[in-house]
Amino acid sequence: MSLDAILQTFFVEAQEHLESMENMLLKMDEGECDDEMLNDIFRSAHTIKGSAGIFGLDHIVNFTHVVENVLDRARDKEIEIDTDLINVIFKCRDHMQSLVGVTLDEFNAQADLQKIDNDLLAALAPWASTENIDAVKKTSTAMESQPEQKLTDDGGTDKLWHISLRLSTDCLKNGMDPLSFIKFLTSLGEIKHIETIVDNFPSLDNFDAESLYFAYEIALQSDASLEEIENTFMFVQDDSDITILPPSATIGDYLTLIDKLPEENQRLGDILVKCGSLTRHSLEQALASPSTEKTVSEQTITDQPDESPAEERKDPDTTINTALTKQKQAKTQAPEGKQIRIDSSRLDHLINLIGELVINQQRIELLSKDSKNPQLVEAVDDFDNFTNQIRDAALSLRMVPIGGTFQRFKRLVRDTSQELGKEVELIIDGADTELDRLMVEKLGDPLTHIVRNAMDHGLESTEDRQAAGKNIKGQLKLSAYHEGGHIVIAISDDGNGINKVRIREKAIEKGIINNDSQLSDNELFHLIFHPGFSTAETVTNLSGRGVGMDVVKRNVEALQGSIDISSQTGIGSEFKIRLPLTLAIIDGFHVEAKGTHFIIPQATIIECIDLSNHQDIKGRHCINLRGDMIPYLNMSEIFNLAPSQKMKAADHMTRHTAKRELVIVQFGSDVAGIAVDRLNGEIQTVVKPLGPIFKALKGIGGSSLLGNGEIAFILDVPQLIELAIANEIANKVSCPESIKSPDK
Amino acid sequence: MSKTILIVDDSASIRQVVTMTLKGAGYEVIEAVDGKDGLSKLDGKKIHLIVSDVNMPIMGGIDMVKAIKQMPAYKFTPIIMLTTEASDDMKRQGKAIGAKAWMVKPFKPEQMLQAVTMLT
Amino acid sequence: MAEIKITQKQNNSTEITISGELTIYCAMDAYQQHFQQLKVKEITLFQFGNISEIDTAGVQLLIMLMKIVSEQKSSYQVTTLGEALTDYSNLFQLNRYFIDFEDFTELTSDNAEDKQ
Repeated sequence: MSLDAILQTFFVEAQEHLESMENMLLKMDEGECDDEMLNDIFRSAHTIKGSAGIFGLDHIVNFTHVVENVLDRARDKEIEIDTDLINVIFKCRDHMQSLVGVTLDEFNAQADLQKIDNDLLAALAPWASTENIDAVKKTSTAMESQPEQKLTDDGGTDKLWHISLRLSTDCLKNGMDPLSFIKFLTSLGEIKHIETIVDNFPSLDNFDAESLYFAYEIALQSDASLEEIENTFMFVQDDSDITILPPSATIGDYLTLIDKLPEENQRLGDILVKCGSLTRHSLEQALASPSTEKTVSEQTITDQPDESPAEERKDPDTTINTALTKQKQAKTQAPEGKQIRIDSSRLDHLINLIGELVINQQRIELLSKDSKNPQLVEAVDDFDNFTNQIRDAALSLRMVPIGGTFQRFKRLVRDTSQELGKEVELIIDGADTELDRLMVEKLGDPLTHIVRNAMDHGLESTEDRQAAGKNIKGQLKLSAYHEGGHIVIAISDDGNGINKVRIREKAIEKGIINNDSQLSDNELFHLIFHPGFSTAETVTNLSGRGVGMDVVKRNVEALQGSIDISSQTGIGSEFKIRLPLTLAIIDGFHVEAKGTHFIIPQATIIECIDLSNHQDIKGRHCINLRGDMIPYLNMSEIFNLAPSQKMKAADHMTRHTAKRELVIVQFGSDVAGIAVDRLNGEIQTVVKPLGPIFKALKGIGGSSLLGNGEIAFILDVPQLIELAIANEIANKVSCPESIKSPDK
Repeated sequence: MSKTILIVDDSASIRQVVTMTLKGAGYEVIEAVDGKDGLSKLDGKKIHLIVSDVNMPIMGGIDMVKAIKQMPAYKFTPIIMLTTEASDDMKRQGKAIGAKAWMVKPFKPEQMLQAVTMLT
Repeated sequence: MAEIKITQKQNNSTEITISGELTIYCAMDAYQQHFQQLKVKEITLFQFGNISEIDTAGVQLLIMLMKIVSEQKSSYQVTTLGEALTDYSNLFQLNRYFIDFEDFTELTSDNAEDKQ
């Protein structure tokens, strides 16, 4: 596995933690706050920092460190959590998200990001403990030598260090074997001499085979720095006496060491001489001088044990609480190992392959029917059955619950309601409803816009609500459910409803409709999807931001979906987004026009009728079907189709019997007809996106290979319906009398 | 004979970096996602060193170490705990139960390798 | 886990054979079961050749064993050393115990006791 691949893991992981942080913050904002939540949110920051550090993403580490510190203090009840703090942490979380998105170099190059960084750090300052902020700096220098030991590393000519180890008797029990440290020392230099001192062995009955009795005096020849040598023992420095004398150490330093050590002076001296650290001569001289009696020990160079045993044993309550918390967590968490994480591109590849499999299966089915071999047909039937099951199973892999997306709106609603000064309650319904992951990703923006719009324009101000006798708290509801092969996502509010008069005025003002245009409520509402349409009296900070509802509509349509609006004055509005279950494979209806193959998504079809039995209304592409006026489109006209050679020949022969079929399709509340030459029946097909050169082609959503190898175009029904309706509106405007008497 | 390290961390990216680093240095590495998983991964195998995060869901590092210290086959296995400088209290708790080696997160892969080398 | 065999031989010697992994995991048991009450004859022969793995607790146990033997005025010899112990001994420069058979009596009489 490469570092790059792991970096991807980090991004996914960081994203998950940021989302989790947000959810926790939202709960806290609603007044829910317990230790477990605080711990969760702390852990998220902690993990992001820890992982970022391993990749050298210092900009993330430095910022997150302070956030983590504040969260830690909150966890320890050193600071209280109030709305102000939650607000700042919300912002910090967002900033962390931005930081995760950039490399260290990019961060260093972006002054605006750095400014946010600084501003937020300043905002956090009241809650952060200064000592802990300083601790960052401290830890980075913690490994540096203590002042007493500031001796030049290269003082000695032979770079001979002396290391004296009196390790904690418990170190073996703790898994710290001197063997590993000594081995590590050999990687730093050459051990000239090591004396394993066995003087401290106890008597037979007091010998504890798991305690360490060995002591060590080591002469190490090494170019390593003091820090490097010291670090070798960093895991045993507690409760141990470790003295490292640099090559430049003087005889005085050695005498101090000898004084300090528990063993007898002369014997230690002998050992040091053996090590080559001291000469016999200088030792004799020094030991003879009176100043080295075991009386003065002006400085100890070793690390002091930093906790007393009493402290170590304190707080049994905390431990029990932690254990209880863990148990509780264990219950609420999904059982481990029940989920695997895979790269989504692999899943997409699998689904593509299954698409190909489905095509091949159809081909085999055709061939088997031609063969008239009943056994083969039966076998292929079984094959068909399993292929469908494989397809469904594979598609379900890509289905995710919409709940995650909905959760994100809690934050948006919270922030927006603060900004607008409106009290809003968000209700979420049907969070379990699953839809294609690809769609979930693309739904974020349109939903955001609709939600903002609903809060900005839909819900009234607190005063207005009060005046209208409504609950001061506005209600916004996000729900998701299945409806006839579709998934519906509804965003509703209990606001004032859409102001039809205002929309009409605005549309006229903008020249979108004529003064005398007669529009149904539905048509009127749809005007807000017109590019550049905005009814806001003043362009607010929120919904007035660049993108309009037209973008929302386009996004939804790109997902083969549609939007419906319903609204009642004084009661509220509802936006309904309808989406297909999946984008990868559709159940379609195979039709032909002038020899060109088309596929109409099955879910949109209401019925098929024989067009030759119906009369067009007054020269328009419009028929009267059981009292309803249905506009229709001629495929051959829309796509300017010329009959193929083969078709021409066939046409000549069958001209007199040529039927025209009309497929009635519905999308949302709109109904239209599609006129074709031939109905070929139901087909299951894999959607292949069209190349960029076809992007401009209206009405085609994709292509597909048929079992016989020919290409079929998948019709984009919403666009076609829109086209049919647009034609109709144009006609209505040009001949308004036809509306009054459509049956004429 | 290569030595076996158990890395316990709920962060997949940290596990992966540690695994990559240690494998590159010739160690066998076993990964676990939390304390409970860590305990189950021991499974009677010979483990030379355990590297564990402290703060993990389901079962944290401290509770895992407590359990390990009760297991005759692992009670002397060296353990490196990963923590932040912010959690002195944790450290005290951990040291009291015999987890003496602490490493501050964030760390660089080479620091981890060095620490592992020191204890194996 | 280490396997420890103590054989009292006819020729006034005691043979102590240790094989397998002599580590902290079994050091306590080994000491209490085999060495704490150990009685050796005039000559003690150590067979360490089959020790497959040894750590500091294990080496410490061997040194303790040698002290016990020395205190009983038995002269000891390490007849086989084995790879694991050789490596350890070389690293820690302990050959004076395992190859040169240093006499512990001098240490045990004056130093070890008063350290308690």
